[in-house]
Amino acid sequence: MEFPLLTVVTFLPMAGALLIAFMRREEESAIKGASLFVSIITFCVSIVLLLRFDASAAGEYQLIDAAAWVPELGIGYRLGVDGLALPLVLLTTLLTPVALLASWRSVDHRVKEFQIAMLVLETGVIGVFLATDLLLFYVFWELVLVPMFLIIGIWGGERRIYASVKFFIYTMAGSVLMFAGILYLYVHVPGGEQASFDLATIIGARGLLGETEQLWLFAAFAIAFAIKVPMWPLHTWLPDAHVQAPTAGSVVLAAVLLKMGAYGFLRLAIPLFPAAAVVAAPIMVGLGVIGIVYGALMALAQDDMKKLVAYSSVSHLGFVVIGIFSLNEAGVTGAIYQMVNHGFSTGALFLCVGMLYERRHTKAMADYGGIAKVTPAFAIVFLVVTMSSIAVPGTNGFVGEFMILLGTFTRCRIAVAISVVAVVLGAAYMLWMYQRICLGPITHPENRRLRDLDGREWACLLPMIVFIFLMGLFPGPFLETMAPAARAICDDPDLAGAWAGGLGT
Amino acid sequence: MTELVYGVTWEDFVPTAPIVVLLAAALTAVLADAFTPRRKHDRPAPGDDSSPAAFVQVAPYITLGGVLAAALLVISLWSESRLAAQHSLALGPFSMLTSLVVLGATGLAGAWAAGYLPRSAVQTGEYHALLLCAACGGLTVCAANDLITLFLGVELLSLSVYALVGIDRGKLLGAEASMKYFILGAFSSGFLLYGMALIYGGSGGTIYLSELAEGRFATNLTLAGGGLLLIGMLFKVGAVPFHAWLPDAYDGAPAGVTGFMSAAVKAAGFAAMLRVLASFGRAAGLGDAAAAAPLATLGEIWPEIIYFVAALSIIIGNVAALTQTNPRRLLAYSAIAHTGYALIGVVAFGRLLKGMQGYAASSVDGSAADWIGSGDGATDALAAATFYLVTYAAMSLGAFAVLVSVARRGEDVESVDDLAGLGRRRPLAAAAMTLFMVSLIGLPPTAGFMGKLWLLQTAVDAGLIGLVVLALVATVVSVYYYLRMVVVMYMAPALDQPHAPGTTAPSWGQSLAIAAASAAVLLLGLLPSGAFAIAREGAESLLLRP
Repeated sequence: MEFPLLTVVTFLPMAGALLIAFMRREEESAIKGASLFVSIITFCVSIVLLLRFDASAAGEYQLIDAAAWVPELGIGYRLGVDGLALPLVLLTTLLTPVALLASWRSVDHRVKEFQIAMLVLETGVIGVFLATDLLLFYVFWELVLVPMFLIIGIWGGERRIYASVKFFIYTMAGSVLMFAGILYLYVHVPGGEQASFDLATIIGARGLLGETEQLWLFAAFAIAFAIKVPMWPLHTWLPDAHVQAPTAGSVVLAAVLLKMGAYGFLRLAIPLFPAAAVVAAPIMVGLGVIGIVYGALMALAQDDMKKLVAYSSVSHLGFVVIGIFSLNEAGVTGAIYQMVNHGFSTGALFLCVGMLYERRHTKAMADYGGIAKVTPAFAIVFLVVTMSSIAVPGTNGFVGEFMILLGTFTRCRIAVAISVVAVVLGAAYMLWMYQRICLGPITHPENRRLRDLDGREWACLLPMIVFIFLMGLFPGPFLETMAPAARAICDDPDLAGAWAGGLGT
Repeated sequence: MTELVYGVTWEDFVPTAPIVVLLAAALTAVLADAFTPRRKHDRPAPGDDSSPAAFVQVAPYITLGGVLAAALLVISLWSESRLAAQHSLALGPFSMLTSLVVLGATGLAGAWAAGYLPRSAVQTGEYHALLLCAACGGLTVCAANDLITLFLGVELLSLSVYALVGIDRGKLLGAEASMKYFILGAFSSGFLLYGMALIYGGSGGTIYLSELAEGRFATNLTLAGGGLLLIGMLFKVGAVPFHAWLPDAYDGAPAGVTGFMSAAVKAAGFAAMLRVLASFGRAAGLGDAAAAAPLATLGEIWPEIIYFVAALSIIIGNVAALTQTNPRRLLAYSAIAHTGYALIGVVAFGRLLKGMQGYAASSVDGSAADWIGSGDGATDALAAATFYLVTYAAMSLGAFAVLVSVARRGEDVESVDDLAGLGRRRPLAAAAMTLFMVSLIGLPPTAGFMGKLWLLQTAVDAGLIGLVVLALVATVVSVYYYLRMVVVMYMAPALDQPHAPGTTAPSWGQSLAIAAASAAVLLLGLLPSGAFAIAREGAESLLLRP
């Protein structure tokens, strides 16, 4: 039997969490060290995964781990990785140690529970990206919920309980719809003796579904994913969750958890119900464009740094959504690229905000100003991250947004025209934030004694900056992995009629 | 149909061994209590935490020993499908599985009594004796094949539980709850008995479910009797609109008793209901078309009635639970909601039964083999409902085990808010409680998820999309009140009062109970195959096997 690499990557963090559960709660630094160690080992294993991955066949599942789980109900334990899952898995395994390192000092109570929650969360997210069985996917999807709820609710800010319960109920409302859809698929496609939750089996037999059935099922899945992305108008949980979550929680939430929604569209909703996806595409692009503009306008109006970054997330993920629903190779590849970009740039933004908060315990931009003079290193890093978020050429954001707009242009020019305006708005709110925090005279005397970045913070930010430039300047190797996966999704014959007579063409 | 041989033989007694063993344990508890000098375990003075008398320490072992012996006997004697004890018991995987749920509840209730009872000043001997008597009744119900045995089992179980609810004599609320439960329970027993009498009269004098299942004896009186029987059993499981007793009884009883009720009484009630409905269904499918016509009519009607009972139970249970502040009352309404979920399986069973080939009402020319051959869906629904009860018992027992373990100085936790800070004081208990709440919500990877998955899947198979969506929406509503427990335990500011719940260490029995329930919830959630197989075999033996 082959070495079950995917299983190891998925469950290593969980195993680490179990180990930590048996450690003494007083030994806080040992617990922190152990969990950081486990997450770094997981990252190393995922590098092995990258090396064993065959990029030339990135459109297919590789390194498959399969076993029967509950054969009575046709539930299989099936993990597989392709060009869509691989970058997201690597993003997760890279950002978890970064988030743990970032919360080294700021999480000072119930350290043990925090580390356990973070590691269980990592297992859940990796599982979502690797599962190729519908029910297994759902199990991992829900597994993410409880640790994130605890992370926001226990270690969060003032209104953490409200934010965490809202997060939980919102997500749960979406996922029960998806659950109903999954059950329906199980019973009706292919049904009877062959009933199975295996994704490939169900996709193979999707022809059994009528047009109306497809539309309903697509809606059930799409609402679950739209809440997670989040798409306007289902985004209202996100600013609350982000603002209240601790830094590590915000980083993981923005960088990884939101990708689960976009990933769900690409992995499940579109391949399962292509005809419905074609019908829904103009609506989804419309909502995506509204999200882009709305997020940007809301971000312009914020005084709170975290809220601004949260709304910028809504805007950026709007790009991902229009890329996905352009339903062509350039757009989908750009969307996958942008998912990873957003992980690095927004993750880094939350890290920067968190570092400021650790020093001054305020998230209001008015309490800063001119700190570039005191903390030059921080100001430079923050500038790079801001540029990446604006998608300045040379940074990763540019490649993703460009491809998305290219892909969407062939489908709907109006959407592109509006989105481009929003890109300008994006530059406005980000630069304005940068100006209010870093430039100008020092208006608050407390800020004169701010520490600059220390070694731990450099260790958090350096990988982000490396990837911002790497993905911005040398997109080739990344695109080589992602494009085949995007092609595999878009080559679906049922998608061929996509957008015929659609908006603006 | 083999003729009954009159004259009791030794072989008739052997299969009753689990029940006899429990009875023996109950008598041991009573006698040991009676022969222990009185003063030593009298009600301790308030604040007296001195070590209790020897008997109090030994009593949980009597219960656990009895339960363990009974469980082993059940597994060895009851696993094979057959009629026994002069046809008054129908053994098989179904009886075995439901009996094990009852025994599990009894065992846990016996274990967590250690360290709980002396503090609540409850009479230890009576508690354990009544618990074991209730288990006797529960096992009898789970295996009963004739209606008289069924009724005896129901009464033995109910009477013991009425007394258990009011066992804390100093507590006014307990006495009131016990009285309410008794009066309403007696009323429902009347329904049961009247229904049985009508069936007896209408069927030409049979009280054996196995004979009724052959469909030779049905008349219109059977139809009326079946309806009354159904009402009596819906009362016992606490389905809306027969649920009025439940919140008061759960609230008034000590948490230790409530936990037992929520698992054992419900499991036994559902076991009886499923067995009776399966017999009627089999009779309608296999019986002579003319004779079985009334049963076929009944089979047309009852799924539609239970459809609304299930929907109402889900709605009222979940909505009423939203505003509860007392954890026992909250879990009481949650119990009503879960009864509703389990009833979805019963409705699905009824619907799929109607769809089986050669069903008397729709076509007359189907053969018995056709009918049996088309029974996969209905069997699955029956099995899913059974499995759901097993999972519910595990998670509910777990939640009560935590509540019992944090009770202090004879006082149960009376408000959810009192659990504040439990995550700090008792991290393991709080983690376990979180697990049980997550399972009650129905999230993976817990028992509650697997239970709901199978149940709703059979419901989709039966075309009950409306009920499935209702159940799922209700699940989202339930998130709010189940999560409140978690929020309070981990996130609310801790109360630093000296008498806060969970400030004393749990007893060995309570730790055992929490550990056992956690293990069961995780095991049923991660590796449910074994329990699935037993549930399915049980359903087959009820419905399809001769």
